Formats: sequence, C-alpha cells, structure tokens
Amino acid sequence: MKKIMALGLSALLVGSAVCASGCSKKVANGDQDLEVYIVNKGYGYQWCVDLLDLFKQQDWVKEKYPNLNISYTYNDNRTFAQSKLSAPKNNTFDLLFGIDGLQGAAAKNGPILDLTEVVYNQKVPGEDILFKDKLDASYMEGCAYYETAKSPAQYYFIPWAGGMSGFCYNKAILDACGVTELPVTTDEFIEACAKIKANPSASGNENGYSIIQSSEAGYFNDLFWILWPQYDGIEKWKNFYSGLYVDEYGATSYSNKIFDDNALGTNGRVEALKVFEQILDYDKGYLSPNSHTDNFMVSQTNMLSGKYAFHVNGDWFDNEMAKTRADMKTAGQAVSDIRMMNIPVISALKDVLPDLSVENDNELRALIKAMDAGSTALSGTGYEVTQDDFDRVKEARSIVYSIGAGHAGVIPTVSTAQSVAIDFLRFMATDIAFEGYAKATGGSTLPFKYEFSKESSLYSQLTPFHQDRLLYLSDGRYDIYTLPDMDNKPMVRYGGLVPLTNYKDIYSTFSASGNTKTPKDFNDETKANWNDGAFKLAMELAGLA
Amino acid sequence: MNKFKRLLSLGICGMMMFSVACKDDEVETLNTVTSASEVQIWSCLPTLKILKEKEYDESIKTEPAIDMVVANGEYENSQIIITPEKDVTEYTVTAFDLVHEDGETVFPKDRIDVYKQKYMIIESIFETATGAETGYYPDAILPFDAAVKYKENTIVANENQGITFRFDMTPTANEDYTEYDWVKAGVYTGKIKLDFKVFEKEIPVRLEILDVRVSQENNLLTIMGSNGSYQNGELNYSQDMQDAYTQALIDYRLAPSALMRNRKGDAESVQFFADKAYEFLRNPKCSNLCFFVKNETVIYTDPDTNEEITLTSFDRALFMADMRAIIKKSVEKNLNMVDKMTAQYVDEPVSHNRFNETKAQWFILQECLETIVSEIENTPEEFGLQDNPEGQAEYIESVRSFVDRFVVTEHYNEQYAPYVKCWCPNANGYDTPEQRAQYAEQKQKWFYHSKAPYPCFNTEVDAVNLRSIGWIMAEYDVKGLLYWATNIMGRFMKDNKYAPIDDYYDSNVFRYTNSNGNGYLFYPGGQYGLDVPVSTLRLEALRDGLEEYELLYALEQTYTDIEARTGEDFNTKASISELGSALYNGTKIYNKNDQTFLDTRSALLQLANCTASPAQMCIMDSQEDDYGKNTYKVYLKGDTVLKSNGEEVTNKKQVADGYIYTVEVMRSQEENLLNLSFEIDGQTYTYKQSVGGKIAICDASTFTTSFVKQGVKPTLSLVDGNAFYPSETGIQVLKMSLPNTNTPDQVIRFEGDFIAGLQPENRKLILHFYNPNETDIMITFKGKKKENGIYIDVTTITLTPGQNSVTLDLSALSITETGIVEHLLLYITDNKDGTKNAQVARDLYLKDIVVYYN
Repeated sequence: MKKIMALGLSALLVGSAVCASGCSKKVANGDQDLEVYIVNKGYGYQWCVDLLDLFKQQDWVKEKYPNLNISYTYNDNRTFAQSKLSAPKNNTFDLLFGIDGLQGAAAKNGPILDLTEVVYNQKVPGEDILFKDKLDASYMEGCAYYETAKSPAQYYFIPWAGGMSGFCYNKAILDACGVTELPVTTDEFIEACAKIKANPSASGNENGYSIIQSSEAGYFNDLFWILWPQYDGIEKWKNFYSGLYVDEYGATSYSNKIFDDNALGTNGRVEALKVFEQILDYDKGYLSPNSHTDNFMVSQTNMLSGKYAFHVNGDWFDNEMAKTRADMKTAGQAVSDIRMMNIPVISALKDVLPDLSVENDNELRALIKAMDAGSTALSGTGYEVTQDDFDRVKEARSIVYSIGAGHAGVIPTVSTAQSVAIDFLRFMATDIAFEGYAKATGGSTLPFKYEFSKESSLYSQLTPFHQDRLLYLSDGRYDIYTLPDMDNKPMVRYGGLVPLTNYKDIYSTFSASGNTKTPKDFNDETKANWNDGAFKLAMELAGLA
Repeated sequence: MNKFKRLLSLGICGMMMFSVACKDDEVETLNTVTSASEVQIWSCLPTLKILKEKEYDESIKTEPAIDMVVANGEYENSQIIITPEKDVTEYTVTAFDLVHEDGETVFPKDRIDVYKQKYMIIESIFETATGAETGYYPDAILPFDAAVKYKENTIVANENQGITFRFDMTPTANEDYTEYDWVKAGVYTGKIKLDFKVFEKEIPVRLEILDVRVSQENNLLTIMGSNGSYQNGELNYSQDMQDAYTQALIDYRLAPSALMRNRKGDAESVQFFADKAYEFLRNPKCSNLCFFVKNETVIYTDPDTNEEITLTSFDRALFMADMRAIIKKSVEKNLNMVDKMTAQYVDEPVSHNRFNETKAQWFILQECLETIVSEIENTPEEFGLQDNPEGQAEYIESVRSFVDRFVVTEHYNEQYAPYVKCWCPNANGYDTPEQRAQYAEQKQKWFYHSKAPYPCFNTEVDAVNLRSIGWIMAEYDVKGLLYWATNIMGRFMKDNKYAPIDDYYDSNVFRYTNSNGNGYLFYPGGQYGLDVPVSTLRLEALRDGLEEYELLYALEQTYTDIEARTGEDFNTKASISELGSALYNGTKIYNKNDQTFLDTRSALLQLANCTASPAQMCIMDSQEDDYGKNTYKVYLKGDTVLKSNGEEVTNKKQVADGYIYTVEVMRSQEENLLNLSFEIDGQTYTYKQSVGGKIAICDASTFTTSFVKQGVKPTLSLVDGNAFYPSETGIQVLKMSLPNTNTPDQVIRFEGDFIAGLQPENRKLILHFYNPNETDIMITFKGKKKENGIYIDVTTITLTPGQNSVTLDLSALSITETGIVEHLLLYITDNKDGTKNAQVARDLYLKDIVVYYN
C-alpha cells in the first residue's frame, strides 16, 4: 500500500513538474494516443510507419479507437529502447521496437508487459488463427521466457524481423570464374573460392579474393551457428543449450558431457570451426584483407560494386543498401546483381549420417541439388541413399539462422495505451502486415506464416535478392527450421552456458596471418572451463540442481 | 524505502488515513472480531513455517500451549498461530514471569522475547527438491513492541498470523567473560496472555530447563558475508550501524566477514580495525573474525615458469599492517587473536578458471606471513614480545598456521591442491565418504551453503534444514561455515549491481538470480525506529542448530574423557552420528522432517542429561546389520542397572569402573525406539531415541522380471545361493547374466511394481549383491521420474569380488506422492579411470533388497 501511494505521488510530481517548466513539446498520453519508437538500423524504420498507417486504416481499429492518435520516433541509437525501460517514470512510449537484447527485460513484475494471454493466445485480427500459431514455430521457441527452469513458457515480446542470414553472392563473378553451380556443400564452396583465386582477372579484384567480410559487423560468425547444428542435428544442438546429454543408451541427463566428442573424436562445434579454418586461412587468400579495415558499409558497397563473389549478410542487405544502390546508379556506376544463397551444408555431415550411405562429397552435392530441385527420391543422378540419411541431410539443408529474435517489440508496463499497443502487435501477424513489411523493406519479411509462391502478387514486387530467398523459405521443398534464440534457456540465461568460451575470437583468429590456434584448441579450452564444478554451479543458478 | 519516498508516503498515508477513516469505521463494525469464537488460536511444531494464506488441516494444530524442554544456556523458540474469521484491528501479547517448581525462583518475562512473524511472497519455487509451494512465507521476526508502535498488531480475516516466542536461557557473564551466572535448572510454569480487546486468551507455559549446559564459548567458526548494502535499507552509514549488524551476528554465534565500511589502509584505520576486533573477540561467543582483503593489481612472477602475469590479488600492505596490529593488540590484551582470524579471497577459482590467481595468492600469502614472522624474530619489541621467547614462538606458530584458515571457496581440485590448504566446498562436497576423504588432512574443515536438499539458507526451505547444519558439522568435524551475504538490501540486476527496493518488508523476496531470500538474513530495523537489524526465522533456526552443535561437541569431549579413563574403545563418532541419521544422509537433509527433528533433539538432550548424570551413561557404539537390527553398546558407571523398554538388560560385561551393556533394537514396527532408563541417587533418567521406521526385505524372487533391456538384455533366473552365502541354507539368489557388448557399459533397466511402489518415506535401499568375477564391477544408478524424461544420478557403487552390501540413497530422486520413480538404469562396467572398453559377458547375483522406511 505504501508503495502504490508513493508511486502515485511521484507520478503527480513528475506531471506537475513538466507543466511548471513549460515544456514546449507535450505529447498526448491518453489511452488512444499510441507513441511508438523504432530503432533505425538495417531494416530501417519505414516498415513501422507503413504498418502503423495500415493499422489505422483497418475498419475494426477505427471502430475500436475512434480517437486514435499515433506518433512515432526513430533513431539509430541501439540502447535507446533499453534506456526507456530502465527509467520507466520518464517513459511515455507505448511500443518499443529495439534490438540488442531488449528481450532481456522479460521478468515477472519487470518493466515489460506479459504478452502471453493478450497477444499470443489471441486471434490474429481478421484471420482464423491464433497469433502463436501464425508465428513461425521456431520463433515460438526463441521468444519464450522461463521464470525458472521448471516454469511454463511465457512471452514478453514479439520479433519484428525475420532476420535470415545467408551468403550473398555475385553470379556474374561465379560464372566468369567457371563456378557454374551455386555450391551446396562447404567443400564445394571452398573449391569455388579456389577457382576464383585461380582467376584473379575475373574475380572482381586483382588478387582473386572471393570473400569480403568486415570484421566490424561480425556476420561471418553466423556460419558457426548454422554449421554446428547441421553436423550435430537439431535435437542434439537444442539439448546442448538445456545442458542435456543423451547417452548412447538413450538416457537423457544434465551433464557436462554435452562438451564431449562423438565416437569419431569430434563434435559439431569443432567441425564448424574446421570450415572456418579452411575458408579464412590467411595463406589461402580467399578472404580479402580489407575485411579487417573496412567498416561494414564499405564492405557491402564493394560487394555491390562487383569486387567480390561472396559476402555473409542477412535479409536486410537489400534494404540497407537501397540508398547506396540508388546513389551508385545516379553516379553512373555499375551495380551488381547480388542475390542470396543458402548456407552450404557442412561436408563432414556424411561421416555422421545414421547409415553412412553417402560415400563422398560429390554424392552429397548430388543429393542436395536433387533436394533443391524438389526431389524426394532416395536415388538419382550421382547418389543413392537410405531414407534416414536422406532425412538427416534434408534437416541440415533446412536450417536457417536468424537474428530476428534479437529484434524485439515490447510494451512497457507503464504504457497508458496498452490496449492499442496490444492490438497493433496482433495486427503485425496479419497477411496485410506481412505484405506491407515486405514492400517497405524491399523483401524482408516478418516471421509469420505466409503462403508465398511465384504466383503471389507479392513475388513480382520483390527484388531478385528476395524472390529466391522467400521461395526457399515458403515453397514447401523444405520444412524450414529457423534456429531459435537460445539465450532464454535457463542454463544460458542464468547459468552462463556457452558453446565456445572464446566464440567472439573465431573469425579474427582463423583469418589472422600465422595463426596456430586450432578448432580443437577452442573446444578444449571451453571443455576445461566447463568442469564438473562449473557445470554444477550453472545448474544451480539455472534452478536445475 | 529511501527517505524521500518514505516522507512522501507518510504524508500520503496521513491523507489516505483521514479519507478512509469513515470507511474503516463501517468495515470495523461489519467485519471485525467480536468474540473468542471468531478467532482460532493454535499451536503446532515450533519449526514449521506456517504460510499466511494457507488453510491447514486440523491434524497439525494442537491446543495453544507452550511446553518446552531446553538446555541451559541456549535460546529456544516456540510459536502460536492466530487465525481469525474476521479482521482483528488490535491485539497485544504479554509475557509474564514464570515460576520455578521451588515456588520462588523466577524466570523473568524479560527473558521471553515476543515477535510478530512478517511474511514475504514467494511466487516461484527454486528449491524444487523441497516440495515447497508458493505463498507468503514467514521470514522477518519483528519485535512485538515495534509492531504495536507502528500499528501492525492487526490481522486480516482468514489469514494466519504467527507469533514467535524466544526463551533466553543464556547465562549472564561478568565483564571479562570468566564467570557466568546460570539460570537455575528445573521446571518453570506460567502464562502468556493474548488480548484482543473484546476477549483475552491465556496460553499456558511450561519450561523445563535441564541441567545440561550449552557452552558459551563458540567452538565453530563462520564467515558470514556482511559488507552488503544494508545501508540502503537502514539509511544509516555509520560505524555504529555496522557494529549493530556485527553484534547481531555474534549474538547468533556467527562472525561477520567485515567489521568496517570503506576500509582504508592508513595507520588510524588499521588501529581501529585491531581495536574493533578485540572489542568483539573478547566475547567467547565470537570465535573468529576476518581480515579485510582488498583488491590490488599485482605483477606476479610465477616461480615455476618465471612468467610475469598481471592479475588481481589481495592488498599485501594492508594485510600485513592488519596482522601486525592484531598481534600487538593480542599481546597487549593477553588474548591470542591471530588464532581467531580467518580470511577468504579467491572465490570458486576452479569453476571460474582462476588458477593463476589461486597460485599467486598462495605465494603472496607465504611471503606476507614470513615477513611478519621475520619481524617477530628480529624486532619483537615492535609487538611487545621482547624478552618473551615463548610468546614469540606462540605468535610465530599462529602466523604460520594462518594458511590453514585462509579459506578458498571451492571443491577439491588436484591441479590447485598445492596452493590451497583450506578448501571450503559447497556442503554437497561433504556428502559421501569419498568426498570427505579429500579434506581429511585439513587442519580446519569448512563448507558453505548449497541448494536443498543440502544445507540451504533460502526462504522456502524447511527450518529443519538450517537447523541440521550444526548436526552435520558435528558429525563430519567441519569447523567452519561460510555464507556469502547476510545483509544484501537490493534487487540483483543483470549487470551485477543492486537496485534499491522501496520497502524491504513488502517486496518479492526474489532478490538474486533463481533464489528466494538469498543474500540476506536481516531486515532493516530503521524502518521501525530500531537501531538494530530485524532478524529472521532462518537465523533463529541456524543458531539453534549451532547450539545443538555445542551439545554434540561437549558430548564427544565427554565420551573421549570417559574412553581414556576406562580404557575401552568407544566408537564415539558412530554412536553420536547415529542420532543424526534420522535427519540427514551424508549432507542431504530430509524434507518435511519437523517431528523427527524434534524427537531427535529431544534424544540429544536426554543423552546429554544421562551423560551428565552420576552414572555417566554413554552410547559407545552403534552398529546396523543391513537387515534392520541395530545393536548398541551402552556404558554405565558403577553398579547402576540399565533397562531397555523397562526390562533389565542382562547382556553386559564388566569394565574398569562400570559395565558395558549390549542392547538390540529391531526395526520391525512403523516406529522403532531405543528406550533406555536407569535410576541413580533417587532420580530416574530416560533416553529415548528414534531408530527409524520399519524395514522390508524383498528376496530375490521379487525381481525375476524386474530387470529388462536398455542397452543389453539380461537373462534372469533364480538359482541356489548356498555357494555364495554358505551360512544361509536354502537361499535363492537372482542370477543376472549380461551379454557382451561393444559399448563401455552394460545397461539394464530396473522397473516394475517394486520401483513404482517406492514412497517418499523410503530413505534408502540396501542391495545385497554377489560378484563372482575376479575384478571389481562398478554400477552407476540413474533414476527417471514419471513426470519428465530427465535422468537423475543416484549413485555409483563398486562391487568387489564376493559378497557386497551397497546402499542406494533415494533422496536424490526426491520421491513425492505424485512424483514417483518410473525406473532406474544400471550402468554396469569394469572400466575405470575414464577408459571406454567394450564389456564381456558376465554374471551378477542379487540376493535381496532391503527397503528402509524413514
């Protein structure tokens, strides 16, 4: 009781102080005054403005909120949204669309609203489906919050970006260097880099570098997150983050054996790092040294200029480079046709298939290319596999890494227009919003289910960059599994569990001249840190012990 | 609550009170208590935590009365619960003098402290092994006078309000603690009165004080983190307030980790530290204090590799300055405080990969200590030790032995072992004999808090858990207990900072990651106009257990003396630890154990009383035969006759100055007692100790279909077991034939009715195996509960060739009424030391399984 009264009086004081100082800009703060903040980064802010407009035009919105007044603020300050949550008494925003761990504010009695009942368990406006069912299933996993390890999932934010990562490629360079097909395995990718290296004059630069990757942005490390579960399988990868180890007898227990090697004396993390080692090897010269000095926009511009064949980025690339592209065209500069390809499947996968029916990388490539073409046959040109092996390779090919869960839309608990804010978040799941978002971002998409094909009206409105990407995600060839953000797992959130102690160094280490550190070194130092005591401590902190 | 908000809220409170006054009058008329029939006043076990909003079954309630048997020199609590049907707008509680059975001696009312239990919401249960539920838990105990002063002597309808009564039997000490004036032993009676304005209720009180004394010298050491943010709650940053928290800890037989705030290294601060240390250490209840170990960045040269490493270690200059000052003060006051000083610096170094810091700390500490030793030798006059070679030798020894008191909070680790002399693992690190063996050579053994079912300080854990800590420490000779923080007053934020809380009595008790009540055992007293902190039921329970430690410690000393006098071999540890076996196994404390605890405490008091009698009764030895038969050896001095269950014990042998009796108790009943008595000098002494519940022997025929394939398929058959157990004719054993396998283990599943029938009261199983193989066979047991798919490690046992009796402690499985075991997996292997060789075909024989109840 004392607390409520104290807060009430505090609120009055703040209100009256504002009046007394004669602030010039007073934003209305009633229950139909929706104030929105959007961080202006790769996806821009226009998507939100457009969606707010669309929202306001909906008949049900007009009826429910006849005096609806919407205002928005945007900037490129990554911590602005969090700062609003840290100082609730000074916050008037009803919706915050931020990045960089905004979802970390989730907590019972915390600063952001629990959306479980009011959004996730409600119907999408105008559609006969619940919000939680419209949201991509893997995002449901990544958006969950667990108060304790044994608590049910709750939801405190919605993701506002699909965020898919992949390899951007320059088809013209590949064709010129004799890379006639997009590589589908990591060995094939490395061969492509070697071919480009052998054809410097056609590589776009005079040294035959095939990859440009600014160390400022850290996107290359995204490959680690994909290659690892490709090798270990999704189930084992997910179990890792829960601290769960399944032994060879089928028993699951909490154990630091999650860091152990398999029967071949390796594991998915080590194998993923071996790919890094091969691609980034300084002496091989696939990675442009400019990667260490150029900021990310310079790298991306050079990619757009046709100087390099490959670059790891995400579905925001097109939108982020829209202005640069336009400026280049205005200046009469050539702008390359840059598209996105799926991350190749890790070649070492063939060594851990259930039936070991893939003999070599050529056969693996043949199998994947058949899958990409829509085949479900167990044998075809260049391959013959068992059903279990087929399924395992298909799973690997279906894995997508996304930064989407890091893009969180939240409602501060101090919001005075909660009802409107809640309804806007529900609206974001509609097909109308999906299309509006795609148009505003040049083809990036929200992580909701949407029926998409070449015949869709949306298809023709997208850039080629996005057409292939969306077809891959939506046309049914693959049961796409977007890797959920695992930071919400209690062993991670509270126990500090990490797959590699020095993960942040993998790109800089393997690309450095004279590097001697091996993938096994990264693994061993992590294993040494996660001894029995450390693991037990993590379990206790996670509420599992 | 910060000052500004407090003033505002008081102002608003004033306004609100005025505005609702009329409304309250109406409510008062309609919904307030008007007669005794509307208020239930009840007693229950004093250790139970009664939740505010929970409805309790009548079976746990008794007529309100206080009836206690206590030792002299301790504190002991009782409680009354008030549950009104309507609001209680005002009530008071008044204690009166109790009168001795001699009609004259008085136990004054000033020795009866009355507290209102205050409740904190627990919305998430983190100590899931306890089976606790969410709700409002009693934690802070507010002096009732303060409750009245701040108008908190009210009770909401249908809520439980606990009142704690603390009886103080501690003696009065003279100025220098050399003489004590003890309370007269015997039975005191009287009353406590509850006054609800519209009616009164008298609670009868019977207090029996035994002539068994709890030592006023604290024989345990503790480090209780005390440099937290209490000032946020007290709004008082003075040394006086720091002292108040220090004294409060000492009153609870605990020692603070810090004596001063904002410690500096100048001469004045150093002298102040030494003076302050003496001020507290002169009281024997303060057994130890800590050096303040401030951070310092050092460039350390590794003596083995000559590598220069920059790292953080403790401030050497400050440490040595403090040590010098402590020695000087010790000499001046003729009290060796150096022996009472401890310290803790590097925390969990193995878990956090801090090998270099640990190694550096070791060498730096050695340098510091040898520097001081050298100063004592070369300039003894600086310490007041000139012309005092014995004194010099004493303090040199005390300084050098400090390494044995420099605590490292970590489990034993071989790599770190050369640089650590005083390991302090979590209490779970003392759970098994193998674990305890790692610390056997330590001069002082320490452990620190853990998670339930191990010793745990968090709010939802049974009070009996904290109270059992003293018992566990006595059994395993653990000298020191550490708890990381007793006075954090803030909500933990993810960036390792603490955010202030508006009202420390009205906030979610969750203030640290995944734990309730973690980091604080006090509440701010300033909020109630007190210049001392408000304590908690958790502290009361911990202290009570530490007092019981003193009784156990004294008992052990007495036994040792009698052993030396008689020349007989008393298996003192076994017999005394037998008492604790009802409370814990290893360091795992049983849940929902309140009655058993009280019975066990009662047995301890009786035993102490019997040992203190002229007959000096001692339970010398206690053996259990795996089939429910407990055999006790009991010593009595002189010709005193021992009776068991009222019958004279005839199985006896004469010894130097008395007799040793042999008494057997079979665990054949639901509850089984060792029930002894004797008469001497016209007085009858009794000793009743619970031996435990019944046992059930399940022979081999029970399990003919219980073991099935998991990794390998066992072949089971009943065969004649005479070859393995020659003394047991006609016995059958279960032959388990295991096929060879390429995997490192032969894994089989143990399932069926037997497993599904395991109850919460089944504490352990004893399995009798025969290993016909020539090598040791290891079996790791993992259990799966029906409610989820995660396997829990139970234990790993080794079967040596021949007969084996192995114990399976079931507490790890946390069996509850609804959380039953689905099956166990047995990982059978001869692999040792991490090898992963394939397993050959082998046989094992199971004779029977003995199931223990409670």
